[in-house]
Amino acid sequence: MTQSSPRLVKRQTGDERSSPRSPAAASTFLDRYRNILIPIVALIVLVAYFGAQNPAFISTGSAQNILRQMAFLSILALAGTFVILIGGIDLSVAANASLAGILIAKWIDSLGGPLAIVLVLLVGGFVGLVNGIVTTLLKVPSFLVTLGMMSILDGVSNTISKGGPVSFNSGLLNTLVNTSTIPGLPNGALIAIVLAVGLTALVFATSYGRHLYAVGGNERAARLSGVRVRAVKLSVFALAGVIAAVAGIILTGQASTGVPLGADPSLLNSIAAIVVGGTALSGGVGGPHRTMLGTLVIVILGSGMDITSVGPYTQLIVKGAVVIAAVAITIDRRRYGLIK
Amino acid sequence: MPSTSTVKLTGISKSYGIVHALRDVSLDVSTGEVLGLIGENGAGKSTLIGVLSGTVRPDEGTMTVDGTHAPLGDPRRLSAMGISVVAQEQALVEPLRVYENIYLGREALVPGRGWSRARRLRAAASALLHDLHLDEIPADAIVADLSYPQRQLVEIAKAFALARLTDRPPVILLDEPTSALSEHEVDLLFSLIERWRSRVAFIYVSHILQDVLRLSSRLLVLRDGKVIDTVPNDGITDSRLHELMVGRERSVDYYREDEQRGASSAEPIMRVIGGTKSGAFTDVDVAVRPGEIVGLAGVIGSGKSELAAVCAGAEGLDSGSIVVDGTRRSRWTVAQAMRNGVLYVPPERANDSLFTTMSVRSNISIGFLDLLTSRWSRLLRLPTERSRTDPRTKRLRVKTESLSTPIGELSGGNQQKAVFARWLGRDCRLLVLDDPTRGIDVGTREEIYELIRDLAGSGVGVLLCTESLEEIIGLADRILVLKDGHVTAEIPAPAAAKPSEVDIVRYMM
Repeated sequence: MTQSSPRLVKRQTGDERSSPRSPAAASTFLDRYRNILIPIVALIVLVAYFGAQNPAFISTGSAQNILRQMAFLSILALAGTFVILIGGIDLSVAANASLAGILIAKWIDSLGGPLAIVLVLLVGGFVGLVNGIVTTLLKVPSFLVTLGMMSILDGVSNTISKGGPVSFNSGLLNTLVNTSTIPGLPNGALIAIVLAVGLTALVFATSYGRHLYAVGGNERAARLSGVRVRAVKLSVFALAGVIAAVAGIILTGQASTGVPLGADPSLLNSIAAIVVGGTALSGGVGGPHRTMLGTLVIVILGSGMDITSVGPYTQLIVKGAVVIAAVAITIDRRRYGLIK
Repeated sequence: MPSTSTVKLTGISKSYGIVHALRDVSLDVSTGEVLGLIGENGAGKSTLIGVLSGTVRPDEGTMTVDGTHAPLGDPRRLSAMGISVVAQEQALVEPLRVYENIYLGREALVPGRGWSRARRLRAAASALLHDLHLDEIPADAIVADLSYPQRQLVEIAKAFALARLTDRPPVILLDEPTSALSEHEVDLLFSLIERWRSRVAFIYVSHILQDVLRLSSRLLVLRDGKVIDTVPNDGITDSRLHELMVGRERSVDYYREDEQRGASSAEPIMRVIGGTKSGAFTDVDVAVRPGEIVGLAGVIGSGKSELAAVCAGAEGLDSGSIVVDGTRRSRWTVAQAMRNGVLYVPPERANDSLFTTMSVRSNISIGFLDLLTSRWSRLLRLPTERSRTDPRTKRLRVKTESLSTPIGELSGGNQQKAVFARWLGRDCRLLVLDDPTRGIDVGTREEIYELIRDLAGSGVGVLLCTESLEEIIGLADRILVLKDGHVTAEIPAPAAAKPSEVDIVRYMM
């Protein structure tokens, strides 16, 4: 083993049949860490640019604002991350969060806080499970199932709220989301951070987490390695539903009222956060920690544009372009000979 | 139209970073010749084929076709000069029909417009397939509906089609063309080559030395990107070639028959009784005992591969029963098989076994994550993961920069060793192997045989299903021959009295 080690490097890289070629050591490094370096560089550039444009950008007030926005968006993006990790996509997370936002406002006074929260999370999980069942058992692509589910959920939300805001009296959500247990950190952001840490641990330090990556990386090989693929997929969709419901509760807590379709406009932003963070749409690469980084980039981009008075229409154009660019940069072309 | 054509490479070098894939390689091949290209994995064969076909642009060197300067790194123009490739990985468009694939990108060479051209293309393809004795493949079949070996034959027909369309004699590069073909199809391919060899220049790349020896007029041996020798094929032996390729002689006892012990107890680990799976096999009985290596022989489509998959829990039975340790199992999945120590190495490494973007370590530990989970916290014990993967990769001599390297960057042989390491991490009682040495170089093959022998010696049962009869005869204690889904013979193969290939082929056809 030891004598042959100088030869060994040559052997591997010389075998073109099974290995994608790496032109030079330096570019191998860039290749390998590209997906993590890009959001970090983007973050530094954005902060430097907006800070130079308007010094008010680097202030505690601005930081508070960013944390508040992050709380909701990062949780919504975490929900979507899991489905993308197994190689699917969940377009219904935002609509699911909207429904949760309406239901919590509707139920919190009559049922009491804890019971209402548990029920709302269960409804979210149930919606996710339905997505999962249709995708895995009926074998309909998740893209289409969740697109349809988005419309169904929007219809249900509007029926329940009768298309108008739903107000409530309980102060529980305000305490839970807007006050600060740790000074300077709104509880909503604290919840997001705790959730992200927990989910990152789930992904990296449990066999369930490894199975997620295996299913996303190569479903057939996962099955032949003893992974219960169907159970993993069903649970991931259900998990995404529960996390989406958490995002909806946070949103209603921040707005102090149930806003109809309140979370829906954030769908694109949440997907942007996921892909900018470096979770590949092809599945098997990325994770919740990446999504936190991606959310930070998207939120800073948004609030930076606000503070430098970029018009809302221009902001839409910029965000759309960022999503496309992020996918273009992060997509693993080795796994796709052709892009359709 | 010139009657002969000569392709000449001079001083070709290609490096990837600090790695020299090819160093000052020269070769020439003319119409009427079959040049055999041999070397271990990573010797540079594929890079060389890539240079000839234009998919790899070399750093230095020139190429001429009949004295005309050839545009290196331009596959389209090289193809127009008469060079075509039949590669290991298929380059067919699956939703299209056979005749559309055969003439893909060259439709303009056939006259007509619209439907009329389609009709002519189909007629031309039919005639071509008939000429090539490939009548079993209909010209208007959809490629996706064909079996893998049939598709390989379509690829070969495609290469021959060029011979008819261009005005110069073709050069056909065959890169491991038999790796997925059954005995019968290999014979078909070889007779094609024999029949056409006077009109074509062939370059034949294969790991199977007997095939190269049977076909080639000359042999070019590559090692570490350099041409070691070019030898005429008269009276050169397997072992001499082996020596040239690896720089040492092949051990006499390749399959370690002296360590063959046979079943260590009469009680089978697993039995399939009256197993039937529609479209694959009917009323089959198999039993594997501890320490026994049972070989499954048969042509592709005989049902042997499906039978192995059923034993491993990867596919289900329509009727019949699976009995493990004397208990009948009504449900038998990979996950259950795994917990019972029945472990499966499936045939197509890239599709069936590997998570290419994941690290070598994760690819190994996925086989025994349940054993790494802490009972108390349900978390993985990551240090234990290291201590259970690192020594195993060392023992199996998996060559990799580190265990965090994505497994996709390893060579085929090392990937396969990692797949074995995956199962060595847990209690193994029956190992189900389907084509475990496909596309793997001689050196690694020998290591895998050694491993199989060691496992059997320690009381593990092995069910071995492979295309190579030599391998089955060498390794197995007992050989079951399948034909059209039925067991046609059960042949004992103790170390002292190995059956010959003829004894087995008789029951296969």
